[in-house]
Amino acid sequence: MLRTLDLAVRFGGHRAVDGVSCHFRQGEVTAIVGPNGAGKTTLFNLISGQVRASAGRIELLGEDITRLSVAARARRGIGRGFQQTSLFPNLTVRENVRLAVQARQRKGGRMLRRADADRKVLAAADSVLGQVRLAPQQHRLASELSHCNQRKLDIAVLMALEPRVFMFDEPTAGMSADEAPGVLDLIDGLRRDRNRCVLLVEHKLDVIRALADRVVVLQDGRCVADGTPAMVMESAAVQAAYMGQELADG
Amino acid sequence: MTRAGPVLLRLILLAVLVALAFAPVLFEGSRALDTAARLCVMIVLAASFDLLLGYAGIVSFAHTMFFGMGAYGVALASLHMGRGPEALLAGTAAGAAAAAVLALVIGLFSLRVRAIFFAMITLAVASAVAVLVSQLSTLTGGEDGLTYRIPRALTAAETYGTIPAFAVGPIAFDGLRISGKIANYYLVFGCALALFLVMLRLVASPFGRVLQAIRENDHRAEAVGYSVLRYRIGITVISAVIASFAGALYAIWLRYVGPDVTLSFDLMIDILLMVVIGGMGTLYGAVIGAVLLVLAQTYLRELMGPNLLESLPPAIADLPVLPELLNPDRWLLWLGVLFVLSVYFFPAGVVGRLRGRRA
Amino acid sequence: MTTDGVADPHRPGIGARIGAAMPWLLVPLIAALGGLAMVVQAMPGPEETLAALLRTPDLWADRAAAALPAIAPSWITLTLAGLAMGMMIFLMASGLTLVFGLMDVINFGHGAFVSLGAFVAVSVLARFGGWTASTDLALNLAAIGLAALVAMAVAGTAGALFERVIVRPAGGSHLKQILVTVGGLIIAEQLIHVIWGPAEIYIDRPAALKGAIVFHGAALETYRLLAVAAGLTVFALLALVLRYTRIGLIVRAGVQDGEMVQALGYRLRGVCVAVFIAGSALAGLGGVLWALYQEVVTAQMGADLMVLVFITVIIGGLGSVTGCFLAALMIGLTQNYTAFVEPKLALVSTIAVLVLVLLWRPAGMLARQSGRMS
Repeated sequence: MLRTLDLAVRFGGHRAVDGVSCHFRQGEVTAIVGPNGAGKTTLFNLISGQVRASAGRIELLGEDITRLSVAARARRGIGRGFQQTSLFPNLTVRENVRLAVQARQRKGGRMLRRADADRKVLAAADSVLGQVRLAPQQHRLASELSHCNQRKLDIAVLMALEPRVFMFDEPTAGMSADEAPGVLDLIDGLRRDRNRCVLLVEHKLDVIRALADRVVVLQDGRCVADGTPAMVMESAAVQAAYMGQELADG
Repeated sequence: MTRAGPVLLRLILLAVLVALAFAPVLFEGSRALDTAARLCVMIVLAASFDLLLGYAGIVSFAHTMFFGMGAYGVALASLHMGRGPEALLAGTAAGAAAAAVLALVIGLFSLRVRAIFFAMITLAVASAVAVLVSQLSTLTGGEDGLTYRIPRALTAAETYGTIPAFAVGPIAFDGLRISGKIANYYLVFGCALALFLVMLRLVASPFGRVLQAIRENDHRAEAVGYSVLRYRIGITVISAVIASFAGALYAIWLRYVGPDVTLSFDLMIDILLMVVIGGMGTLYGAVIGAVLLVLAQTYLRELMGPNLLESLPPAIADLPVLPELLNPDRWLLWLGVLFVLSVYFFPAGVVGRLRGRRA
Repeated sequence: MTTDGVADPHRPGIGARIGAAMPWLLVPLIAALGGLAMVVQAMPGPEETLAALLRTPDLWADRAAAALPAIAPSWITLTLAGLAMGMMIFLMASGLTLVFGLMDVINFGHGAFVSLGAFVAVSVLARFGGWTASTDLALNLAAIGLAALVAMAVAGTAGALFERVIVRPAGGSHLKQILVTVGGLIIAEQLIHVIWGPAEIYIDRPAALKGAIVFHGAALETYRLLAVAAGLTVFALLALVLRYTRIGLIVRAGVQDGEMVQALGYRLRGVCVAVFIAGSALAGLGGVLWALYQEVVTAQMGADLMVLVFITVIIGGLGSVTGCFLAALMIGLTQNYTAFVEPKLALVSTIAVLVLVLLWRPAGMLARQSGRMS
């Protein structure tokens, strides 16, 4: 479904991502792991378009999307979540989701109809809010939600987009042990839909074991291992990469 | 979002609507009618600026330029095509087209790289156009501006009928000749009302909601699939066209255009003050801001006038600076202070206060 | 390693080298173009239109040769005028661009410091009427120097106040910054009216700076030479401070990446305030020079000049002092040549320069290229 070919980007002299070639298949949850500064978030930024590639290409369903804008990629089915929760803070929870549905239904250019009169959009938004259990909070401002609910809303916005590729950047960061499972269940739910492909940047090994079908290990901008979680966890390269990180974290 | 909110705000807005709708009957004298017409135009102008500032989060200093394009369009068409209604329509259309094209070009140039360029570039372009207009005097009349004739049906020379004098209890009505001037006023009022309703619908539309999303978080809006640049350019063009319509109405009402009434930086500051003090991102704020500012400009001077300075106790009047601070000529000082305080403490302005909610 | 023929950045090709030098070449290029426009305008003889002449290319060489000596003195005079104007614009713009680069703050009220400096200078010069009326150049310069110092001190103090009361509470939102600094500009202009009265004030340039030196038939106004010297001095000082001092290093690093400097433990806040004050003082100095150049001051003069200042900082690239310097010279020259050839188009011509530069480099000549991570 999504393929990167020798993808690379330089910031000044630093090669943040350096020749990554990966194929992400539909129906598969791929965890991207690696120590801090390995280029995980940069790889995400390259795929969703926030950062332009210096070299290489990105294909979605065979189409070259390397030069497309962020918005154009989103319209073709790249759904990107952010590490720092990124919402429309002074709009209501429902409006946040409604805007995403409206984007998917390509209705943003309508000027003379009332947005709130479009039942098709509202029904879709309400359905997503129900799935993530945010319906009770739907009339509050996004900025008033708890951190955990903001992350849920972030995921709800992605679900409302119905993208071909879901990209989650540390979805459970900053959550307590009893909050995280709710969010992980939501992501797990996406696997049942075999037409989608899920990319996950994650540090926590238990999350990776529970969710991922496949693990890609990045180090210094390069892909150093790629395989099933069990296989990859065994490999020497990952041991080295992770030992390094544990030392750094400790 | 677009509900006017609590009772007091609704009452004020209703009072403004009624006062403007019945201005020729309610207020005597041509000056009052002038003020009412100016108010109608300023409400449209300020509201169209709010589309940019309050809804899209874009600061433009070229809004008076677009206003002036509509006004000069009508003036030039009336001069060169004669005093027919077709001249007014053609002038309005030409002004709007010019405004749309220029807004598109400025938008493409400045919004493409950094939204912050837009404020600076609009300031530069608007200054250049103002200088050009005052210097190309063979075409534009220069500093003196242009006077021209509009259809007789819209001037005081035409009479459509009279309302006889009457008295009901304590209310006495002196009678009124329904002149072409009054017809002209209702043309201005009707068009202004229609434009305002269109803007109200626009901000509640899917398009308007996307603008608010972009204002809140442009990165997210882009990642959701909205091309931020296109929406920003789109609202820039729409806002410019509506401003040019307001200018055309003003030109039809005044039968005069000049740089000082249509293009000046002072007018630009007035619009900024109206929108920010009234309340950004509400449209109704533009109404309230325009009412406050236009009434203050027209009547404040004579209300506080020289009496205030004379009524100061001698101890204060002898101080070096204080009397000068209270001079009615310095009211812009206090408006400036109010403006800065509004931005910090009441970003939703008077309307936000009346609604009793944070923006 | 890249494979698709991207040039190695460490060994720039000839095109890249010309590209890098281009901002410096543009200043003489504009001077040459200005001269060319003047010559072309002077080419037609009496009873002859330019259009008719343009259709007969064989006459061009003769006519140009005839026009050249007549136009050369004017060109020299205008070039000096343009450089002088550019230097003054640079003084006003340098603070603005540094403050933006360092603090990501766009100050629409910057012009207030220009006006303030000018009015303060007027008051100071009025006190020292004896020094300015004297024909002794040293006394004249002392009076101007004193006025400039006081004006810079007052503008700097006002800048500190402005930063604390108006700018800092606005935080990082550009929208708020623009609005409150415009509000600050309104307040400042009105306060100038309160203190110095609503009318414009006319002043006389000191006696020894009124005349001109004649050089190859071209009149070089003494005052313009002084303005060029002042501008060059400030540019040199700024370049030296930025290059060789510790605070300069922090400022340059801060322009590159503010978070990094903060992470390294430098109190960037204090450096920012210092830069803001210095920028305000420089704007005040620009105001003093401009006031003596125009021999009249108004409260709106700063706001009016901001149009040229904004065009300058955009052309130069927001945050770049060198870009700002080159752009200011380009703008000063363009204004003066156009004012000679076709006065109505003076301001429009600077916008044309802006448009051309932005077509070439969308973020300005020497802007930091934005390849930032999100």
